Amino acid sequence: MSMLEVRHLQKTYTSRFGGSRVEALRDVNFTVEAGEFVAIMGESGSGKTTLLNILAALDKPTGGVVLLNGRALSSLRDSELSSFRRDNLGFVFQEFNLLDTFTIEDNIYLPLVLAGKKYGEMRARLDPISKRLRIAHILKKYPYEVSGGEKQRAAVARAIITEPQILLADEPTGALDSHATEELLSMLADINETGQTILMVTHSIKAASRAGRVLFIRDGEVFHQIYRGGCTSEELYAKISDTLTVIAGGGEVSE
Amino acid sequence: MSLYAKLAFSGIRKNKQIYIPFFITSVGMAAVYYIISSLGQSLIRRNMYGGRTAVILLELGSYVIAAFSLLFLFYTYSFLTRRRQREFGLYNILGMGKRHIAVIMAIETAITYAVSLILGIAFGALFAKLFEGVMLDIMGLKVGYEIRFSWYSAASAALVFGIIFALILAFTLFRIGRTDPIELLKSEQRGEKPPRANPVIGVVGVLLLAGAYYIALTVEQPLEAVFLFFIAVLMVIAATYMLFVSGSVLMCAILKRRKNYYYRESRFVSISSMAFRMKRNGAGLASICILLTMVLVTITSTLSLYKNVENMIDSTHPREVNMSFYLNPLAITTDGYAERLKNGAIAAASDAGCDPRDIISYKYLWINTEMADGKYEETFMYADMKMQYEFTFVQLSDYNESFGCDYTLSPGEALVYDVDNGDLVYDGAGDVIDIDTIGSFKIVGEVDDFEPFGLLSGTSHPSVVLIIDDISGIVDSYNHHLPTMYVGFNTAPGMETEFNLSRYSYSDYIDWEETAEDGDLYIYGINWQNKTADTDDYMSLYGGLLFLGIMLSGVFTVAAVLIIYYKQITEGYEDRARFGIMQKVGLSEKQIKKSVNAQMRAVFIMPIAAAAMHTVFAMPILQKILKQLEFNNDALLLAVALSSVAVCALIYAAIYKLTANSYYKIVKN
Repeated sequence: MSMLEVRHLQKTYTSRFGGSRVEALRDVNFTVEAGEFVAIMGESGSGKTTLLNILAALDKPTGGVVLLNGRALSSLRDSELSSFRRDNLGFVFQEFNLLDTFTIEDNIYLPLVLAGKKYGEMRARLDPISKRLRIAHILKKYPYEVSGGEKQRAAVARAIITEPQILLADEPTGALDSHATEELLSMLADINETGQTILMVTHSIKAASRAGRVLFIRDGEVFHQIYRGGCTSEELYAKISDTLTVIAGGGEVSE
Repeated sequence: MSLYAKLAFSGIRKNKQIYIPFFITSVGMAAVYYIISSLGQSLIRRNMYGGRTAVILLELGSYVIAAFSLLFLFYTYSFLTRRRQREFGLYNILGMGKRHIAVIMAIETAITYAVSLILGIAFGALFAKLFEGVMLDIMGLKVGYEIRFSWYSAASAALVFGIIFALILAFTLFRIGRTDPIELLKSEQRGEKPPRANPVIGVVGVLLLAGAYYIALTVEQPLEAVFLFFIAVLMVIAATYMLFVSGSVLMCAILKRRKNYYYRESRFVSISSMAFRMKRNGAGLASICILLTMVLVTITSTLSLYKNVENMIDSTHPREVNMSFYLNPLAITTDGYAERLKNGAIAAASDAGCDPRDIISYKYLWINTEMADGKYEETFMYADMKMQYEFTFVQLSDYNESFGCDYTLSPGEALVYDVDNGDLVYDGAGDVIDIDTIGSFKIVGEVDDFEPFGLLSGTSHPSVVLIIDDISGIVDSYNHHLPTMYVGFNTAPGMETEFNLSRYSYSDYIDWEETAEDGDLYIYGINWQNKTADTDDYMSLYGGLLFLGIMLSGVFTVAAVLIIYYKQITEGYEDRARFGIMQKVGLSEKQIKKSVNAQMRAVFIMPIAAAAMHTVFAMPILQKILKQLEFNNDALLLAVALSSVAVCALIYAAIYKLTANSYYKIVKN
């Protein structure tokens, strides 16, 4: 059984008075196995963000089903959603989404506190993570005092401290400079090495080229996918680049 | 319409969520100002008895409203400009110079001013009649409505608010002039520094508050009380600001340090946001707290005084008509003169148709002393901070006759009546009171049916009446205060104010020119008081104070409400993003609501709780000050204070409910 199964996913937005209908997702199908690092690419408006919101249980599909470890997200009651998200999913956003009223440390603790964990346990979990993400020295600082790269690493720490089934990242490098991007991507790859499943939405080829598999979405459907196979990141980069050129040209890809 | 005017209008329209409350504020302020001013004008036109004090009070009230309007409109307007920095920045980047923005702002301010003034005066004129009715009713003036539109008040409102808006505009332009466009664009999203509590300010705040409370609790002398009250008020204001701004942040920091307490779902979010909230809102909440305290103290004291008028008049006016004649000492020692005077006064009242009844009359001598070398020594230093003792000597025969008793006393013996704090002078029968130059008196008993005239209880220094065998003996040895003859009686119903004894009236009955052996007049002067007239006078004074107190309290309460509203709105927008993040991280809507409510409740409770505490501690010192205004009814004061706190808390709670909802709606979106 795959860790994540997405079948015939469909999402149609209807304007408030029932006038125009916009099809954000038409028919999306894919699966993610445990321990995979999957990147989803697509142009603006291709439905990436809608897909991610549905996977995050922040939005409901109009058709199709999402199964996480065999359990349908749609079967969750509203009251269960928050704790489900907390226990099974980790999030990394483009805009970091750290709370400016908390220190970095408290931001990372937030999901654990919500889950009712004891301080001692939280502390013990944070130690290895903060070392691996190299943020131990900024734990007592507030978000406004640290760099963008550090903020994003803190956000990653917050996402993985709950040991989620799957880490969802939405354009995690979108607000970072190239050096910080490189650093963050290495860390994500590193985390993936330890067995963490990662699903990343991006339109940065560089970011996608670090993934194990790249899915391309166009017009609300999975249009194509590339497996890393034995490629280096550079080779994968070239492949992705070629694919995107074809997509931009509107043609079909053959492999 | 020019482009500028268009931009100005659209500026107002687009920001209506914050502009509307500002309009309500400024219209309300202008209306209240107009009402108070025009009430004064109508009282001046009436030119009636008892109305003059109220005119002065209303004049003072209008100054208070003007000053408060300035502060408050400034404060609320700064919310407006702060929210609009981005808009200005955008204009600037689109190629508009600061000069152009200044023109737009000037037009906006002019529009705001015109609308506020016209609507304010219109509403003021509309409601003036209602307020006149309330005021006249409270003051107990039984006259018809007379208020009409006052051009004078309208013009003075135009002037006062013109100045206020000009100052606001000047300040806004100054602010725009000083910022650069990039900063204008970014100003709303600049990262905020975490609150760092300054422990020194927190500690100083605690000390100041403790000091002020200590003063309030320990002050003894009423004369000191006024001055110290002023000092204590300043200390409390400073302490309130310090504690709200710094103390609360300090408190949060201390709670944060207790890890096992802090890292709990129920507190984690609340405590950390509370620290930020207090850093930003501490000053606002402190202002609300001080406003509420002012409301409570004002209402408590004015309502207490007002409710106490009857009580006070009863205790200082034994009878409906009260006369006292200041006499030549020889009038006391000359046989039969006093009797002749009394009979003359009664006869005059009879023939005036007053039908005098319940007549009492007595000769007395009043002195003020200080303690020196175990003796009471006469003094004239009334304002001296040293403890003073008042003694009033009354002739036994007068007492027996007026109050239907038949005591007998030997020379050197005295019956005592306790006016106020008598226990500081004597313990009981057998005590000897030794007064320098007058003699010593052995107390043989206490009476409690004496009715003193013109002796104030509640001066806080001791005052006793000594009824002695013969006061003519001490009149000689004593030359500083004049011996006095009191005559008091009630009248036939409806005739209460008909008898008006002035110095040279009723000369058929009293020979004002009669001279004593020493060639001086027998009668040096008279003091005449009428209970009904005095009641009207005091009702007018304290009623006017109460009316003004209610008006000002209304304004202050509305101000507090608006500050809260602005806070909720501005914070709602800032917190929206924050709660969005928390939701993504796994905070359920229920938890968000819980956390919002916990913070709102804390923000809500703090000012009113502190205000109630300030009021409670102000009670003792307030009581001392009110005593100087002949207020001596502690139970009433307590009841009024408690009910003021309760009513205020109720109103406040209702408003909180309304505004908290608007906050939650913004956050939830």
